[in-house]
Amino acid sequence: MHLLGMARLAFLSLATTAALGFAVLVANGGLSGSAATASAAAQEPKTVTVLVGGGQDTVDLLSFFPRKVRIHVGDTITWKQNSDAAHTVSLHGAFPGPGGANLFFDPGTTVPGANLPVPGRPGVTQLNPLQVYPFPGPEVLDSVYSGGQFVSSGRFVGTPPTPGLDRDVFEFSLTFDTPGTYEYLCLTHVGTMFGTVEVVGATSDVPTAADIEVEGQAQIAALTNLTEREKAQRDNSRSEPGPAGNTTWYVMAGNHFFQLGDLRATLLEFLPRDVTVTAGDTIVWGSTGFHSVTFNPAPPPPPLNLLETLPDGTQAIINNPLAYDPVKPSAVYDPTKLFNSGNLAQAQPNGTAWTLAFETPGVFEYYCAVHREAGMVGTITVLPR
Amino acid sequence: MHLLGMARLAFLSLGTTAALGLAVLAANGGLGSSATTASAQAQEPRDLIVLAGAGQDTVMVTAFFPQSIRIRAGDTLTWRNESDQDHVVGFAQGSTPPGPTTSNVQGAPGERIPSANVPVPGRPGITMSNPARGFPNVESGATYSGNTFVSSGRLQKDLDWAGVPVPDSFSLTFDTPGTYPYLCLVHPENMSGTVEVVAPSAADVPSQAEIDAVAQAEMGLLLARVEPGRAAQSASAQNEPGPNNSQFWYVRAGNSEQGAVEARVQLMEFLPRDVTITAGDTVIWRALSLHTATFVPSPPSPAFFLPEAQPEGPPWMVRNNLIVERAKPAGVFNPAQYFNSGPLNPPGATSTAWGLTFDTPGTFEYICGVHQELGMKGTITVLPR
Repeated sequence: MHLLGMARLAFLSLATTAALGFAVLVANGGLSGSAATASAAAQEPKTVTVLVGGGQDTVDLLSFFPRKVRIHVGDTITWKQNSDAAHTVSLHGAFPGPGGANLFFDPGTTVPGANLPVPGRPGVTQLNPLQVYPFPGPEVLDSVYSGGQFVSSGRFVGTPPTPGLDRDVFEFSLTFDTPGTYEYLCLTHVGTMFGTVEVVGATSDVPTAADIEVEGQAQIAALTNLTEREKAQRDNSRSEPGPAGNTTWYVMAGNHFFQLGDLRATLLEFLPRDVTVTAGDTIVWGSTGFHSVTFNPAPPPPPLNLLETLPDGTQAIINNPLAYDPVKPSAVYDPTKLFNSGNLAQAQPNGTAWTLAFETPGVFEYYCAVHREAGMVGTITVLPR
Repeated sequence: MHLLGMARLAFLSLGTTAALGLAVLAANGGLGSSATTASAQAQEPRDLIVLAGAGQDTVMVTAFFPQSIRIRAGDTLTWRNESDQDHVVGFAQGSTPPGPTTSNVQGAPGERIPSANVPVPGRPGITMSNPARGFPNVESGATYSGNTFVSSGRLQKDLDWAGVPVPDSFSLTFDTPGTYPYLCLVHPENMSGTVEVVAPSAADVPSQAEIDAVAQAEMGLLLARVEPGRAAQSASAQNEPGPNNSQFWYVRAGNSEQGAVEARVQLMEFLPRDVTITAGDTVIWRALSLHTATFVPSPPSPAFFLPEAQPEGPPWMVRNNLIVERAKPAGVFNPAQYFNSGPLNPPGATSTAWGLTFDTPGTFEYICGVHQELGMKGTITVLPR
């Protein structure tokens, strides 16, 4: 410990020396602005674009494109929304309030938790404002970042309007004034979607804005290819004998793996979409993502979130229990009633599987309450026995 | 954090200047007792230990300890597996692994690692563990310079396969400064580490004692999550009404904490382990990783791997189709027959869930065919209706 501490201390003390050396070096190399010495010339600050997410409709590419960028001190990155999904760009650092664990940083580091309790209403949760709104405030959307603190774009789409901001957020620009490596992630897709910004001195080689765009597009193309192949492979249901001569059917809500563990692109679909069963059969839905299986006899579906003013005057984004809580009013499906698996995500008490038996012949449409607008719907056709 | 990063970066960009600065500072400040150690000369190469995984019996921690390590060019790292599970140290950056591959979720898009399983030549429908993953492609003690594929092969204590002893450690010497990400090829989704190699003359590297201290701290954080995770998910089985006054019972095969640091702590257990139901009820197993629910009417239980020695090269680790393939000989459980879910949630799974209905009263023990040797088993007690 003490040796490392000492070495680090030596290094920190050295920072000044190094910076000084750096300045001398740059001066020698030609800070003058003359184009003659291309190697060490200070560059004009530039702006590069990083795309946030990708895919349309039921294809959801969960990455930043490109995932890693290397820029000069003084350059600006503009992140631009590139899909229908609600993403954030959130740079790692200390934050107020409760946290959840974070896969991409050292063990023990956290990111703002997804949900918070609602005072006085047991069982009801609200979205953590840190996950939803720009942090520390709307002014961050076009600001300078020096490292060390948590800053976040807020959700680009799919959220109530940010208080104090009279426009939708589709862009987030940060100018980096300090060399270093900065990890960031999407708070809506913690555990899946992350990126890196490496900020280097003006004499180091960095790609041009055009290079970065090409790299991002290549990564989008690679993931899109994976998606297409996945769709082709997943359109088969599986059945097994069940009790009393009936059949048990298995359907996936969303995909899990693209290939081994590649979680950076997901299909917002039921796989297969349409299943035909016989009266008496049972369907088992499996899921590892934030999906639901919802049969709703009276559309439109309940909203996912309700904007409410709490008794203490704060505004809360309530997770609508009607959309999120499991509902099974009878053991066998009844087309006149609402049936809802609730959140099938992995960490949920009811997560990853849900079961429903069918007796009434007919064609019954259902949807995922989270991704219905993206087109995540399916049908169960029940034939008479 | 970023200040240190800056110092490091300054060092990397500056090379000689910083090293010189450090030498001056060290000489002035007295980093060592002798003046010679303070000069910018190569230090003695060192042998350092990193732990691959942790946990005994049904607890598996998928992480390297420490997760990141900084060493000098010329140093040798030895990964040692002291846990009860198998791990493989793999370097994939900038390389093309031999044979069939899959995408590396922790690498850059497009980066590949060996796929988990490959067909057994000449035996349709039979697969084996990919030898490119399970067996070393370079000798332990080799030198790594970046941009080549390296597999340590399976590291596990107290094991041999078809007479071939399985090592529990693997060493590489690093001769080229740079940053080298690596991962466990058996747990490519959530087990990774980084080796940062700095100049042979660098003073800013931790000692083995410091490395151990970081490793123990990281391990402590993860192991502290075992008991809360177990308690949260094993308290009681979830149940829901099913047809004909029966119940659906949900059991987890393995824990479900995911998408975060917790994903590095896995319980090879059925949660809850023991479930009591009534004749006519159905149990739904759900899993987020490679597990089975397997009822064996008469011992011994089939092994997951059937090793076959080969005249040349490593033995074939043939995957036993009794474990790999689903077996549901009847719609209702029959204690005299073999029932098997097959791997729940393997790559390409069409479901993360499996259902089985019970009519015969009694207590029935079952196992996970993949993790039976670790003690992953459970019971279903069926009461008369």
